[in-house]
Amino acid sequence: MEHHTLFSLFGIEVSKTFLYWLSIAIFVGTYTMIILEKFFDRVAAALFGGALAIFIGVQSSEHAWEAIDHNTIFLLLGMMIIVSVLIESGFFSILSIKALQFTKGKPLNILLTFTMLTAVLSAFLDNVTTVLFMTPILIGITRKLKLPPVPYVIAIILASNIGGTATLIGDPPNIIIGSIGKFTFNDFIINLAPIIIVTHIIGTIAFTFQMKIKGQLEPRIKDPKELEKLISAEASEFDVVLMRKGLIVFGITIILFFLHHALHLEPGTVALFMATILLLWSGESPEKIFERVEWATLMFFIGLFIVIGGMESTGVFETLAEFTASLIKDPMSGILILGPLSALISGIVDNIPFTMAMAKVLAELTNEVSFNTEPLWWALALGACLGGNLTIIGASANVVASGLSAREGYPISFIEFLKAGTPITIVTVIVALLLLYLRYLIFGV
Amino acid sequence: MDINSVLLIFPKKFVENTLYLAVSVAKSLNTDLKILILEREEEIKRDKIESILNSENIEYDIFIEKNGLKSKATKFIENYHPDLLIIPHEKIDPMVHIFKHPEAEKFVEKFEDVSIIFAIESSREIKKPIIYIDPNQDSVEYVKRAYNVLKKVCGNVEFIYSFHEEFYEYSLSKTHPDAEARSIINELYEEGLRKSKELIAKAVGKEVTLKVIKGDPKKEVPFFAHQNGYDILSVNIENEDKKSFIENSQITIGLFKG
Repeated sequence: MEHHTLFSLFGIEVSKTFLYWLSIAIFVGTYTMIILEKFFDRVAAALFGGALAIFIGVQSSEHAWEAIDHNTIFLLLGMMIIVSVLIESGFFSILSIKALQFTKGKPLNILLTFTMLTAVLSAFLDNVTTVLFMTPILIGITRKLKLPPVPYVIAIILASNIGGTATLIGDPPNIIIGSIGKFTFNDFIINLAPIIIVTHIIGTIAFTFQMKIKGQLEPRIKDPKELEKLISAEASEFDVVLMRKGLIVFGITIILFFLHHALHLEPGTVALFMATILLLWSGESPEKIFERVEWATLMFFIGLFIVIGGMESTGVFETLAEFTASLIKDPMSGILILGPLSALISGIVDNIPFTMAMAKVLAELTNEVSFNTEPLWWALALGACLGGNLTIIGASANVVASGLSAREGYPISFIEFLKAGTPITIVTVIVALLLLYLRYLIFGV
Repeated sequence: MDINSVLLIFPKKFVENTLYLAVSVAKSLNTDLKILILEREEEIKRDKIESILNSENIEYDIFIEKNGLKSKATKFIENYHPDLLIIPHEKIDPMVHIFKHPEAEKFVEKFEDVSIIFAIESSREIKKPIIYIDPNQDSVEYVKRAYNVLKKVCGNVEFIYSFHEEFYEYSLSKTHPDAEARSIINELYEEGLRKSKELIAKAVGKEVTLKVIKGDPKKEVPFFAHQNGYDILSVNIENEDKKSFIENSQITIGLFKG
């Protein structure tokens, strides 16, 4: 089918280069609107950008539909439904009471426990699932203790993106790298997990220090007796039968996530299928469950996918990837170029299309050059995953957790996230790439 | 409808608190007490049980059978036809409860033709009861039976009705405009309240305290009872959500026949 643009109605023929720059302009415009959140709603801005790209003709509506990553949308929707049922059962309220008792209501204990748990869970679960699970508990606890929830939510977002870098299944860019670069689960564990453990520890120290300086670790309830009373008096309504059903379905979903490669099923398909089973089995009213689904977050992703799809179809990512590849002359300098550049780009745009384009370039590079390109793959993985912490839209988990936080009455602004996320991203990217560099320097490429 | 026979079953171990609770129930109902112990190793505690029962000055029989809650106890109940069963059960953390379905709970869930007091092990007596009323499911006989037993044992008895507003909201929102749906919901609430009061009046014949809350009864009623210091929650043994009431309750549950 012939591709029409709005300009062709007026008899103006536009070149591919023009569309190339137009797609970038739409992206920059959308991004500016997202940043200027005082004037524009983030979701409306993303949808506007996406619709504008189709309206002007940067891409056809068919291509825009294809640009929406259905796996991500299905995964988000499915996991949101499962988590909603678990919320309805009172599971998270009970878990929040347990966590409150375990941490004894101490802010530092809460921060360390939750970041560690999130990082570990994120390594083996999808980051979105992890934050969907952890955010309601954390907000519940901080609210009870009169602590500001936002920095704690940001802390688990950062931890989820760091932890997710450790394994093949932890973060979507790693799945892409594993698939195109032909790396196994064990390759990721051997090459990335040790680096990530150190990076997580340093990242946590840096974030703790940052929170300490801002006074966010100061307990709001100072009287130990009052605190003890608050912790012991906590109770919540629950429905054990519904919790049991929800956890059985959740458990099977996680097992299927591990097996999804072998089953030739995308995680999104698994999540949506299991969510429908839970809806049928639980007997809960779908309307009630759907009320808890973050529809605005899903719409935001759809808009963003279309905007990025416009750049993808006009070849912007290919140019970016080729430019990056042209700078790489050997594996050691490649780590220092590709890593930071991937982090920067992944922090600004969604890391999935960039990783996809870059991985294809690296696969070609591997066939053409005589040096070992393995260090470059790991630099790409570290940069693309850790770079997601740079901005609030840098990774899916960021968008989902901030959406949940806003719903609970604690919105996270773009700037607020940037202030907290940027220093940690810089520290973690430097540490991780330095460790990777040192490893190849000491043990050879 | 009078309770003439009380059977106390110790499925696994002897629980002193439940023995005292059963004694107080049997004495209040002016009936003798039969005790079935389903663990031979507990025989060594027979002396202790006898000394407690003797000091309480109550008529009793003790039977000891080999371990086998399902077979032995069921057979015993069939032969003996008690009007009220008392069975102890441990208070289980909800998180643990997700993965654990104790034998005693399974046993209690299957009965519908005998009233049961499923007593929390830590509970030595029952003083503050509350009877859950579902005007759409419950019969006058259920309310009468629960009220008569709990009145004799505890004195003051309160009732609770929970209006599941959300359920109607979601159902009606599909078929009616907002204002109309709201008006129907209000009518349904009033109707439920009226029916509950009528049910109680027919069964009890006098003015009693009726607590009214909103929310899913199987979740909200056990939580309300626990939070407000009630020590026994009465539910119709034929209630379709009986299993949920048992599992969601952190206090003693009284399951009374309809």
